[in-house]
Amino acid sequence: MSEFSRRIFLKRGTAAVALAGAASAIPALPALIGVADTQAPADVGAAESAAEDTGPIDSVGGPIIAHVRDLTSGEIGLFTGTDEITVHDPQLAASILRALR
Amino acid sequence: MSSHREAPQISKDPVADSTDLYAFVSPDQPDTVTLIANYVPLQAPDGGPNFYEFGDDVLYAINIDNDGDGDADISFQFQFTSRITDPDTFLYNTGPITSLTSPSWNRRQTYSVTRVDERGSHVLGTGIPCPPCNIGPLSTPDFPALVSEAITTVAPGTKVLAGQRAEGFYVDLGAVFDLGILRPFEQDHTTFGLAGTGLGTMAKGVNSTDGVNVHSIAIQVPIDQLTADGRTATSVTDPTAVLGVWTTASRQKARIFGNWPGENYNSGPYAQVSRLGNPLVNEVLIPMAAKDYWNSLPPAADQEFASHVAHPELAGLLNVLYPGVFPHLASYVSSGAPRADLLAILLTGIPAGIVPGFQNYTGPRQADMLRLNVAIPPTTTGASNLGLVGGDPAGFPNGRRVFDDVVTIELRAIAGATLPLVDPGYTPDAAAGAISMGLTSGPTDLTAMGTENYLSEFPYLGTPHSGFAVPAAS
Repeated sequence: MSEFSRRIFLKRGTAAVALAGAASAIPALPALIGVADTQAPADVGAAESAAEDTGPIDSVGGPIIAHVRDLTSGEIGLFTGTDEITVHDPQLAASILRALR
Repeated sequence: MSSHREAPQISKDPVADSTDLYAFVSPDQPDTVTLIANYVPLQAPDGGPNFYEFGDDVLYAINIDNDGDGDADISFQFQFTSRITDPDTFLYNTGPITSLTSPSWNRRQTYSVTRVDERGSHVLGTGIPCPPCNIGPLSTPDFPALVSEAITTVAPGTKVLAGQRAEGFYVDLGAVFDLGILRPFEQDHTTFGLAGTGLGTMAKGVNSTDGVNVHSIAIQVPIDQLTADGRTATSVTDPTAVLGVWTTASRQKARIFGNWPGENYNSGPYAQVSRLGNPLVNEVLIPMAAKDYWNSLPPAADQEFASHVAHPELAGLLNVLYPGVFPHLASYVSSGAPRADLLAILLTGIPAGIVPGFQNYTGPRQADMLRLNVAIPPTTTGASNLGLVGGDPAGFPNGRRVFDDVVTIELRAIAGATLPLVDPGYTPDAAAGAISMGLTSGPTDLTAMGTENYLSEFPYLGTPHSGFAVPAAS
């Protein structure tokens, strides 16, 4: 994990974000959970919009782990509690990659 | 071994590694079935101060299929919680542990039991204490009393125990994994032309699991709470009399190490990492590259692996390792004919009409499960450690009892001893009926080396070896 993402991780305290091959924590993640919970397709715009409606990260009830499976297709697995959801968001995946550099 | 360290990945995860599974009509409570799933293999009894325990992050299950489709109709799930009562000591205990509430016991484990069936998920009990490990005469001066205290009734007729027990499985592992040596027959081994091996004279077997412990999850359940129609079948031919049983261990899919002091974080749905039905199936029949994959699947998926049962690699090897000893088997293997006997014994159960007065058939779905016909009463006198092939229908492969010599039974079956069940024209080689690990004196010997301490009542597996009495070095 880069120093950049480590700082974000520590700041968030309860959010764990892991990637296969690449990992990061990003501001849009809690919003993305809100989107994914409703089974909506994921794109950055939709995620940012949902962020305004879903409240703080604590509302998901615990840490979140993200697994970017494919940077090109933007397939990301999100884990919280005993749930797993998969979103497809190339722009989000690209944001995560940028955060790692 | 039966399933100890049988697959490359699970061998590195002992707390989730299923080692043996037993299912039998309880000899002292014949209206119940006892199910025992063992984990955490090959425990040196003196392995302190962090003595063995179950994984808090593992979901353990004992599953029952009562309609023959290879999927679970009932699952008993067990989840554990560990607790340190005194954070300022490095010791497991600071004085004798004389009860499960003893203040001198520092590292404890409790668990929950949940029954999952078509009606939903029902918590049968929470906060149930495990007994400690058997440390020695000062730390655990009356270990059986601690076990008695830990046996908990969670529903009418249903009791549970989870904790350390003496290993009941026996095998000459050191010999058999040295290119198939069977000490009683080592004079017939090819030895690959090597000189000075020390082989060549008939020798007794050596029980590799003598003096080691294991962790058992044991549950005794009324039969009528497991069958599809909620009654206890009394006819052996009643299709509802046969239960399929297997155990699984699962872990959450995601884990983060090191971000919280002293602990990890797990998240996501549970993924199955270990499975066990019949002994030795994954160990001996499934190729190494597929073993962990096999562990991840339900029995209903086992048709994919049926060819490994129908054409067991070991059957071909026997004639190579013991030249000329198994000529009939060698001819059969060369013919390419599938082993319908093994497919029946391990994947479908034995239909009625094959063995007089016996059946444990669950239908055509090929699935590795222990199949127990609950209408067959327990054998209380004259039991044979060879089970059905020894004329004792209450034993393996009709379920499995703690003393059944499953290695000998399966070796003989693979060597062709059970082929006449499906091919009356086949004559087994004389050696097929004589193969033995050399760990018992005969079929009625239920006290193989190191297993003399089986109990006649729940939990049936013996008191674990004490660390003081059985140090690993011995």
